[in-house]
Amino acid sequence: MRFFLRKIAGLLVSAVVASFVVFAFLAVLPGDPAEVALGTNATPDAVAALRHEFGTDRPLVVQYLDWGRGLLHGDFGTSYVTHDLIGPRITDRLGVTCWLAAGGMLVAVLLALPAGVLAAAWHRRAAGTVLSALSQAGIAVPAFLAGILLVYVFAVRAGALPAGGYTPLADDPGEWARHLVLPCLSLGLVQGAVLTRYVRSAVLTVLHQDFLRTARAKGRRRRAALWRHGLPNAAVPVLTVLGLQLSTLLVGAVVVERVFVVPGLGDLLLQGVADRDLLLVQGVVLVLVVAVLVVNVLTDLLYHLADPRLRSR
Amino acid sequence: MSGPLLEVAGLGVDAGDVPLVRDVSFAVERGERVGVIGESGSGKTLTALALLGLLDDGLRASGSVRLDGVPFDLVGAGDRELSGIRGRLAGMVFQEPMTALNPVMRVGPQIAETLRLHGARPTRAAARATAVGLLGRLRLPDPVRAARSYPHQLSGGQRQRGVLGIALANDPALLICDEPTTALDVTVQKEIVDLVTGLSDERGTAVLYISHDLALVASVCHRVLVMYGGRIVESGPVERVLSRPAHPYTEALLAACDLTPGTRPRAIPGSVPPPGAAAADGCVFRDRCAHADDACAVRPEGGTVACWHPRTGPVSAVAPETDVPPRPAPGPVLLTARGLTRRYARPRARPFARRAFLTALEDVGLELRAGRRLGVVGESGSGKTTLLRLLAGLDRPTAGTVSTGSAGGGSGIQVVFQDPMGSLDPRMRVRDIVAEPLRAGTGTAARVAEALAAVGLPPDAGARYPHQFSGGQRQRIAIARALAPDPSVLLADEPVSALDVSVRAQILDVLREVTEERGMGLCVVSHDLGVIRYLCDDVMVLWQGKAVERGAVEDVWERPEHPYTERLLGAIPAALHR
Repeated sequence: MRFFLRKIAGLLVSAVVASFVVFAFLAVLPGDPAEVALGTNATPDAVAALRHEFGTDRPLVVQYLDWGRGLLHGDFGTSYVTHDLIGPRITDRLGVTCWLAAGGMLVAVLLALPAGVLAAAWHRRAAGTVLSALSQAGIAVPAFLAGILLVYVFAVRAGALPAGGYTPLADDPGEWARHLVLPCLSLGLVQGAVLTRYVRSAVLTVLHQDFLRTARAKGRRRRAALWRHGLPNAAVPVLTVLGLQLSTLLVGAVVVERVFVVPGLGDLLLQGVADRDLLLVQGVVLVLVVAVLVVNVLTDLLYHLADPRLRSR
Repeated sequence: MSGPLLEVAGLGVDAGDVPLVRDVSFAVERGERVGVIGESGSGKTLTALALLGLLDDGLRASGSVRLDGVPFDLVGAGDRELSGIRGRLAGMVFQEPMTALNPVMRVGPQIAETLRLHGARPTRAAARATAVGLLGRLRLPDPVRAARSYPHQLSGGQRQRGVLGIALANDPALLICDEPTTALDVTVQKEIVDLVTGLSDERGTAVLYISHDLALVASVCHRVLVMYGGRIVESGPVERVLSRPAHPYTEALLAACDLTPGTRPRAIPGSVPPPGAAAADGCVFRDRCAHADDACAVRPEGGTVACWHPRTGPVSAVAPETDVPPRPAPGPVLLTARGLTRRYARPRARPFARRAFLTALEDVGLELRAGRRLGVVGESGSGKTTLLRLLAGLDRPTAGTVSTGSAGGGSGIQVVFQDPMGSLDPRMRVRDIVAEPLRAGTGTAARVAEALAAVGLPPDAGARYPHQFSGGQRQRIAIARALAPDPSVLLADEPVSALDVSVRAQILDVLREVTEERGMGLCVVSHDLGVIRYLCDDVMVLWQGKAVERGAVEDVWERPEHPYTERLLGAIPAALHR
């Protein structure tokens, strides 16, 4: 419990620091939103007036505090470009990205667990080597390339799945799933290949541990010993990697959303950057950063639950 | 119920086409305790694992293993058949209690699991209650708490009791113990051994006890098998084998084990046979045997002694050392420690709580003179390694001082560590390892050659890498590295505890000779009072961070004053001769 509270406190501090860093970063970047909005022919007076309207003529500290106060109330501010509230736009898009990341994770885990365990159990056989080689090859393929290949095979040649776009879950669950299959696969396959290697090495380590021999000396059959005693132990290092990967997936989703024209956070972020919509960019980046932090804390907690040796410290 | 409980005939183990164990045949009667003695690489652990089909994937067993009441041969039986036997008819205890238990599972359920896998298959709750009862019978102080604990919350001895609980849960007829106490302190070792022999007597459990420790096997077993190079070279009743060994290897091993001061333990020349020697023609031991002749080129097939020239008569009394120079008078003081105390801060329980401290060492002083050898003995947690680290300047004392005397030829302190595998950088050539503590300059090569010669390594050893040497040779390298800068004081942390008996004596002699020749001061830390007695003039007994007894080695050995020292001495298995 104390550990849990400490982690939460750490998360809050990190989030505040992150908000500051994100704000500072965008503040020093060139590109005044007012100038961009009015174009190159604008008079200095008009620019100044718009700056005043945006509030970007105030001191940076005031701007930061104002933004931060808003965030505490869930208010991300109003877009410089579209003049609507940023908060709802982010939450809309966040849902899509979360589905994508979760789907990708699911694909990765479903692929990596069996493949990694088998590659370890068969490490002396040809089949194990083939699995390892495949995962090695999988790591070398960037997600967007995998995406393009998948679109070519399943959408263009077979015509079985849509090449891009998105249907919200509420509108039509069937179409929602069909649209998510290819992006999730392209995200998950590569992560799964990476994860396979970690699962394999974790299981291999466990295979040679004495307690597995003890389990067999009790009368557990080989496979049951691995299942009952080996995997819970192998899970400990794999969980850490899983947490790191989920963070990677959130960020990786940005690229894949582009390939599959999925209206997620990444898409929104790129749009914001293109429009010099600084407040929007700030909001999206902060949400991504906090999501990664939350994932890390969750990983730590899971890690603690999985390994009693950490709990009693 | 006729015939022996366990009958092994012509057991062999192969790794691919390399034969590791050959022609192992023996029988164990009900209730009998049989010891298997051997050094590393003798095939004793492989034999034990092969009995229950627990060999690693790359290894293959051949021959026959029959267990009374089992209708099939255990060699070649499938995992399904064998798993019905393991844990029910035969239990097994392993060397490392630290790793033999599943770290993410509580101890009670791990024992209960064995109960639930076989026979009556009790309910989970009933099995757990039985497990607690079993832990109580294994004399764990608080069995309910122990059953609820995770392995890391228990001490080594407690964990080994947990492993014993797993092995004995279903009251098997046979218990196989593979070096069950090697990783434990001497006093804990005695408790575990007493437990095993007690339960064996009480329940009529047969025990196959594998160990490198002759004295221990002698105190546990009725009969003994001596293995060497993957073969049994001698077998027979314990008293006969250990008092009148017939095989030259057994004889040599006994002589190497005897650390009576004033005698020179005769280390076995040569080194352990390479893997694969088990199937070679001729006697496996003949390369190192003093009695070998042409007849030994043919493999001896013996009933109890596999030798063409068995020794007769009682073991020749170990030759008293004749060439020992009288002990020099103590020289000037080289190293003085006063009031050494080391406390470690524990992490705070809550923010701003007062820090708790763990006192590893409290107010220990010592004086080391040139030409004298001081032994520090103690169990794990006694503070002996802390003391050594403080003396070596690897750690700073919380209180107290360490000062080096200015007198004496050489200068400085060097340390030899316990693990000759881990303490040498595997990517450096031996000559670079030895030269490292020297300042670059002329004469380095000569100093390295001299240091290597002093520890009895061939001159070409410098060009090779550590992994090309055996454990004993690696420890020689470590000593050479320590000698190279010509220190006035040599500190050694358990210098022989990772080594086989047959090379232990050699390393002790090397340490003795080099310190004697150079008039160095030597401080040796060890858990083994026998080693200290053999090597040192004076001894200091550490217990819970305090020096509870000190004096001349023989005085302490003969007339211990502190109860702990007495306990320590009492835990040493009865001496073989005398």
